[in-house]
Amino acid sequence: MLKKLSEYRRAVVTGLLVFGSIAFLGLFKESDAVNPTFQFIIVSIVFFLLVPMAYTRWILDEPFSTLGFRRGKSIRGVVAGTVCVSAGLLASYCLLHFTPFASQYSLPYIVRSDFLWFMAYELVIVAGMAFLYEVFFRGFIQLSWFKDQPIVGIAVSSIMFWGLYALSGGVVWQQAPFLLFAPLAGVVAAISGSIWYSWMASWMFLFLADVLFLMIR
Amino acid sequence: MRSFQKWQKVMKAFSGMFAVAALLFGNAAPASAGLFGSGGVPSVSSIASQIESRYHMNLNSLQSTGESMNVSGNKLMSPEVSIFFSPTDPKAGEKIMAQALPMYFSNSNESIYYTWYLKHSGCGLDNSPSSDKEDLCDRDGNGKITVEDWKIEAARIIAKNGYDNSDTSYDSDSDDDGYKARYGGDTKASTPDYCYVHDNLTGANYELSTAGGTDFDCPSGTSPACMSDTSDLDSLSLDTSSTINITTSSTGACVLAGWPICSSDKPACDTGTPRCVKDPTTSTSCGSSLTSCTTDGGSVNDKYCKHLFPDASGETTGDGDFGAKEEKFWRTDPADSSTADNGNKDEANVAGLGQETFSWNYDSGDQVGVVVEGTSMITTKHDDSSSMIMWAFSKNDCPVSIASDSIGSYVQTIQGYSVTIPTIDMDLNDCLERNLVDPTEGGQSTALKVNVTSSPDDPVNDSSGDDSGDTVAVQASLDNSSSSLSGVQFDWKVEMSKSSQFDSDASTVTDVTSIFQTLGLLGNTKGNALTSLNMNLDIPSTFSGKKLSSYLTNGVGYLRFSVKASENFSSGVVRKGNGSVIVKFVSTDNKIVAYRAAAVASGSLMHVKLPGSSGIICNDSSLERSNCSVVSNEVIGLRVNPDGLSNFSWTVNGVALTCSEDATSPDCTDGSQNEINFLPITGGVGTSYAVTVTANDVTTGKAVTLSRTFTVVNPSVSIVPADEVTVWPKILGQYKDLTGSATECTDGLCNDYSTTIMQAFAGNEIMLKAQFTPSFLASAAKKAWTVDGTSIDETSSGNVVFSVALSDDGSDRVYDVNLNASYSQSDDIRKALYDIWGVSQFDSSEFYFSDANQIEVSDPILTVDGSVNKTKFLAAIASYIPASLMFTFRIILSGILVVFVSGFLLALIPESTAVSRRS
Repeated sequence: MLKKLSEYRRAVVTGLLVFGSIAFLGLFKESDAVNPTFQFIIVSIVFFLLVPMAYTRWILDEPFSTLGFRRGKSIRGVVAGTVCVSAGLLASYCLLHFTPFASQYSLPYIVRSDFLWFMAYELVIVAGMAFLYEVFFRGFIQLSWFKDQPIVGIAVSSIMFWGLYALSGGVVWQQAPFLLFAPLAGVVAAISGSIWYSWMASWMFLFLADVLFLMIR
Repeated sequence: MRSFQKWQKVMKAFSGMFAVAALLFGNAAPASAGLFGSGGVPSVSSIASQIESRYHMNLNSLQSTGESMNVSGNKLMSPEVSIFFSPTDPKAGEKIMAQALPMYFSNSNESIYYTWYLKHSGCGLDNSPSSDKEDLCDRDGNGKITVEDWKIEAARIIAKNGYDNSDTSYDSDSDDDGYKARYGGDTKASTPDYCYVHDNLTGANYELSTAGGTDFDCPSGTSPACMSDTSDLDSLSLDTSSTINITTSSTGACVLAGWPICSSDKPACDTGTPRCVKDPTTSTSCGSSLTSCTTDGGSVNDKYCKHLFPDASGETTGDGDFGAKEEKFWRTDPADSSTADNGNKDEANVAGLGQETFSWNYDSGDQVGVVVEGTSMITTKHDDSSSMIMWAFSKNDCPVSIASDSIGSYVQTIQGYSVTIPTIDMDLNDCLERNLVDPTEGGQSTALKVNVTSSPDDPVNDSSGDDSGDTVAVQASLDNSSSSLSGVQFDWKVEMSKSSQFDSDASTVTDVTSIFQTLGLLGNTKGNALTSLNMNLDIPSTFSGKKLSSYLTNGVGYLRFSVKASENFSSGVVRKGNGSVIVKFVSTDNKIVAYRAAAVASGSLMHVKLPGSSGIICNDSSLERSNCSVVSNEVIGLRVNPDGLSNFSWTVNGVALTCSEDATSPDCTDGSQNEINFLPITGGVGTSYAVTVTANDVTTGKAVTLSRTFTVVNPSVSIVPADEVTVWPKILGQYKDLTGSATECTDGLCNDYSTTIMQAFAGNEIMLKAQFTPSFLASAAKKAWTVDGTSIDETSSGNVVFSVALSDDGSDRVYDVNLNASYSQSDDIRKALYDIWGVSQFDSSEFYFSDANQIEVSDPILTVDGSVNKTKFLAAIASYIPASLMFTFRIILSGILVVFVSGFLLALIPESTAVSRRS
């Protein structure tokens, strides 16, 4: 047992950290004294970004490239990203027409009504959240924890992602684009070996999905 | 004049009689022997005496008459003129009118000539004036400032009478406004002209003439004069023959008695002795003897008359010719014969014909005069119809001593007799300057009439320190201010004395102005338009080292409020005036003491009475003593200290307040008022009762008036800390005291405390109490305290006490404290209200009122003994850090913990050798 444990100590501990982080995030209760959005941002930054980076650098003593902060296979990344984005958009289109996604999904009013706010939302908030998610789920879980099992990594990261939302308040249509593209982002990350391409793909997908949504609405 | 003629007739008659008697009785001496006694020729004296006796003529009376007649020629009334001004106090720029009133002229005012002359400030006589002065004053353009310029200044104003000649063309003159003047007045046609000057000193009248120029043989530096030696009367007696015997002795000094004439080369005086004297008008020396003189001779043909009219350059006023040149000089209208529109022709106006009045715009320093030419009532000695033509000056000051050197005489045969006519060669213009009159002479224009009044009539001073004394209001008013009050400065002074005779040497008068200002009893006492002054009669018993009692007599003192008013003009003239008022005041520390009346049964009725001293209300502060808050349906007992007082008279709001033993209270007396009374409070909230009691001092009879005000309020209660060490009002912030009256505030910043929130530290006993308005309800009202809904009882001292323990987590807590109170009159008082004053029981109901407060309790930062608890310190620090920062810190710590734990686990699990080999 110990021998097995020793052999897989990295994976075990990393897994414990992942589960612990997700559990913390999922079970985290907001404080009344602090703005909820501020709380979400702080928690996300700490546990999606800083904790994986700190664990990788100081505990595992590995470079940040382990988390996917590397150039990777750029052509594969671009191609995979393009294909995945397209697939995602197609799936979104199906969602829009065959599910109540269109009626349930909404953007903040000011984002819908003001182009500058829309751009700010897409360029800052969506991009930022996508980055955090890519770092943790694709970088830390898929490329670092399951660096030797890419397929498993894609699946686990996607399941973890879905589980996080389930723990934090249930899956709602508001989160559909993120949930939809999670596995596709994993594919991009696995093919390119870098989270930069999966991040760009996620961001592009979310952006185009919002645009598509606005066009339909 | 008539008296002189009368005496002449009498003397003629007497002389005739005497002559006849002398002839008759002198020639028929023998025949008259039987008539006048036996034998001899009677003497003239005896004859005269017998005549006197026969005709009952008293010698002394005749002598007196003769003596008067001797000098009657010097007692004639010469013409005079007086000037009156309106207004009497002219201000710069104001129109002023001078009115001339001539007297003792034989012709009417309309026919005599008034030569006015006006001297402005800075236009004194000057033979070589500066160019500025010349521009200002030289009217005739001769380069000198003379009396002619003054005459021209006045004549222009008269002649043009406001006419604006700026657009007038003087190329031609078609109005025929010339006027031929006559000497002695306009009515003196075909009358011989004899012009005279009257000597006020001797009464002599000198004919203006160049004749009789006389040289008196006087040494250089002396002048010829008639001097009389002054004598002392040694004895005066009456002998048997009714003769008055006078003996005198000379003092050695002399006085001027007249001016000598030269007759037959001998100086002669009608009165006195010809002498050569230095400065004869003022000298008391008898000088040296004057024994010889020479005359140039002269005759009536040397006489002259000369008008004093102002002349245009190169022209003569009153010559009948008033051409364009003169029209232009006098600035009259060449197309209007009477530019002044007064019925006189322009030249007549310039000559001053009938110009009794002269109006001009007064300027500071202006002086004016008038010389009036007319015919006097004095006849000349010439054998014709002439009377003396004379000039009257505004101050009647034209002494012949100005030209005493030219005094002379000539002899004319009149009616067969040689008559000596005294003469003088004199320019009357030389008298004009000394006859200038200042319209403001006598200070009429400088005096401001200030009236000062005060109220009330018998103010009362409060020396007890309650500041409830009367306010004395002093008011000054001006009757003749020429400008608004904002240009008048008032300077007040307050003096105090025990006697009303402030100016008496026996009075001790103290100027208390600055002292009272320091005490805050007086406001500003100097300033423009400061017509009123208020003084609070709250003079303490001791002030500035002085005792008030030293200024009182039987409690009565006097204050004198004096004010000096001064009005300044831009020309530098200052008008001043002052006024004062004396105010009698009574000083007392007696006060109306208020009680919450108690009820007492009187048969089947309920009356009221004064309780003991424990029932005194509104006596805790000067504010309460000046204005006592009461509630409706209260019965207030009133009492003053009756020592030394009697004849009490009570009023409330000016209406008599009566109290009797029979109807109201056993403390009162039937038939008269005493020192006790009762006031039912029946009015609504806001009603004010001004109670006044007047009483007389039995020893001095002085009246003492005391007053006190009661105001009806809604009863209210406030929850206040009983001990501000344990609980205190919450500070809401600070405000800046703009009034400067809050002396307890540092740098003018005062703390603003909440009235509904208090603060306290946990672990202490919080002590609260109720504060009632009116304060006397504290003992009468029912109270119910709750803290967070839980009832809490008062302690015996009337406070509520509860403790708050320290919190487990150091968090603040809030406690709600409520106080419900109710108050109502006792049934006995309510019945008394009904029995005495008819107040229905349904109108005297209960009052309900309450107050609520919150107390924020927090754990103290510091322990009582001063030591610091580290945990609490950190907690206090933490409590002040923003929550977001703390949250972030906690999340980061959580992340670090997670990483640390994972690192710990990784370290715990040994590394596989295969893995380590692979790596």
